[in-house]
Amino acid sequence: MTDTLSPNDSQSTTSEAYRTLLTQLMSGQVICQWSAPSLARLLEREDVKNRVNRWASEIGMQLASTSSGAGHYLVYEGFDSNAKAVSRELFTRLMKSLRFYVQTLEMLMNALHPEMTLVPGEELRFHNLLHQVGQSPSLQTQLGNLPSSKRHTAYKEQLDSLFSVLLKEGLLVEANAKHSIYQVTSRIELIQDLIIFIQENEELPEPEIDNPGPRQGQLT
Amino acid sequence: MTMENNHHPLLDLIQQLYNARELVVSAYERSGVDLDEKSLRLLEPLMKTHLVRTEGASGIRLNQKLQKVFDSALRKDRIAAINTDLNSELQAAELAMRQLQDVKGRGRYDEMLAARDDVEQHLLSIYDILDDSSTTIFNRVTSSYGIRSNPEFRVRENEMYNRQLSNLVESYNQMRSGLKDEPFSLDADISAFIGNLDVRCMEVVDRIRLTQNTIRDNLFRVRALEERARKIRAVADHLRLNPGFEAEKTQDALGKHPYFSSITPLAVQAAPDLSDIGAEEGCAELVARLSHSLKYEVPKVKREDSKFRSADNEERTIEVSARDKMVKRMLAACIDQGTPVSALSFWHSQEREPEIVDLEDREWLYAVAIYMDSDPVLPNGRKTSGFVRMHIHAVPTHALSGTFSLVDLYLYPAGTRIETVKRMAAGQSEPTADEDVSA
Repeated sequence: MTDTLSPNDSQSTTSEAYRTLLTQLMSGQVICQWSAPSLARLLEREDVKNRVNRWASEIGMQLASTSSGAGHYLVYEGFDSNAKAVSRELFTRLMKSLRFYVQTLEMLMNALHPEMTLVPGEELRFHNLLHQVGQSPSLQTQLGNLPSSKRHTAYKEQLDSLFSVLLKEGLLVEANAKHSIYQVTSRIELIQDLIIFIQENEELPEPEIDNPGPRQGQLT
Repeated sequence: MTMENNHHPLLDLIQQLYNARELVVSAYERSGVDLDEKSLRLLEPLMKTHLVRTEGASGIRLNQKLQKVFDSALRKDRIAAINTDLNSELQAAELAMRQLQDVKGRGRYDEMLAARDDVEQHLLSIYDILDDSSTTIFNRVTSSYGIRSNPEFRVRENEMYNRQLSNLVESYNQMRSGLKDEPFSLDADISAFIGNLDVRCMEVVDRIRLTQNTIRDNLFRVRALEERARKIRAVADHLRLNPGFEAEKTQDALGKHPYFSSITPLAVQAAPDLSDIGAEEGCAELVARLSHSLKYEVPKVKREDSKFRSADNEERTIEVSARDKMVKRMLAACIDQGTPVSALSFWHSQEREPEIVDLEDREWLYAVAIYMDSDPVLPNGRKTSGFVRMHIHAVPTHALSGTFSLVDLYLYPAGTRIETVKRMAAGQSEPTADEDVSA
């Protein structure tokens, strides 16, 4: 296999950023423009992507993407016994956290936009959310039911604790610390992909859509 | 109003709003601010006039009426309204065209140029409407500024733009067929002008189609996000009704999703480069630290033997097997006689219990060997080998083979010379390969 990188490219891809990219991928990170902007830019380059894939294939791995193509992570090539063992472990781990993820997504959707999922890059403003929760008893109940809220009684602390967990798991990144503005990463999209994968495999019925004719407030 | 003499208080208010303009924007967007002393000083006059209110520790918001004033001012830019009616301009162009024909018919050539200009101006107006409207909506659709925080509103806005653009294209198509008929076809120069205009309008129509495609893509994306939301809610509902949900069907389909083949963080073990000067220093430090920490012997703490204290503890009696009983009898015989005892001779001389009556000679010898190898502790706390030891009597299967066949085992009291035992064994078979296996 020939390396198509020009000398300059080659120099840049063997740089610190390239090594960091490989390290992050090897540690199971989902690389996207919100979680690691410089690494995502590097990975956008076709030659770098090919090079990472070539390197990964030598150890039986390859790059995979989230449903929108915005996030990239490393997976095993093929589904051999090694991968099966890993998949069982990952599935068990997912099922342990499934309830937390689903409840959190549902709460955030209810607070932000009930009809749509969160999208990578979307901004979450802590103070706006806090205000929303403060206005809505049902959101307060949903927030209070989250496992991350167990040690807290005040809903501000509960929301603080939830954001800490989401930051720790890499589902959010801090976009503006001063104003407590956060951004959704592609890892949250991956979590949503997995929940949808479960829904489709288990053939769970979707909630019925309310369709009361022409929508109220429609612009003409 | 004489502003020079009477200072209007509104001027002060506007000045105060201007001084705190960044905080007012934060209050309008409700993005939260650090309310330090400087901020509070700037906000104080606005709070006194109830234009700005605090909300929680770091939140500020505008008075609802002021919020509406700003909303109404900014919304004008936010939602684009376009003129989709080209018919009125077409009618005006038709009128100008008839005037041109009239001028031509009367032979007023001095007025003809002005009349033709008039027609062309109306035709250019049609192009301007098309171009301005399509550009306005193109910018709105492709720009992310505006009501991003309310996707539902954004969807409705996009749907509205799509309808407006469709109306515009429909109006353009009607106008286009009208331009090919009389009175426009009666003048060769105007027909040529319309031909050129048509080419330019087609470019605009292409841009409209592109904008409509973008809108449709956006709407499709929104529909997809809505579908994803419904699926997530389906799982949420199911989890509420089935707390022990295990997703069994998904377990059989793990190979279909790449995530389940994703790598878990790999444990990396690194070996230091010993040729590196830094590593050498590091190793020297490590050795010094270890030698210091290992220098002193840690005092041993003696613990008392544990005892069963409860009378309720279940008592278990371990029954000694018939094989071990026979070995013990042999051990007793050896100690009693004070001389070596052949295991085979003893075996043949004794009455056997029913469990071991069918035991072969070789099995018996292995039973004795296993017992003696385990060197069990006797009730007095000392090991068996302290009283009795074992000698294996084996002969080579053939010369130089290195493999031996077991002939017999001898138990002899500890303290008996091994040569005595060997001589006793050799008296029965020659040659011998003897081994002392004092346990």
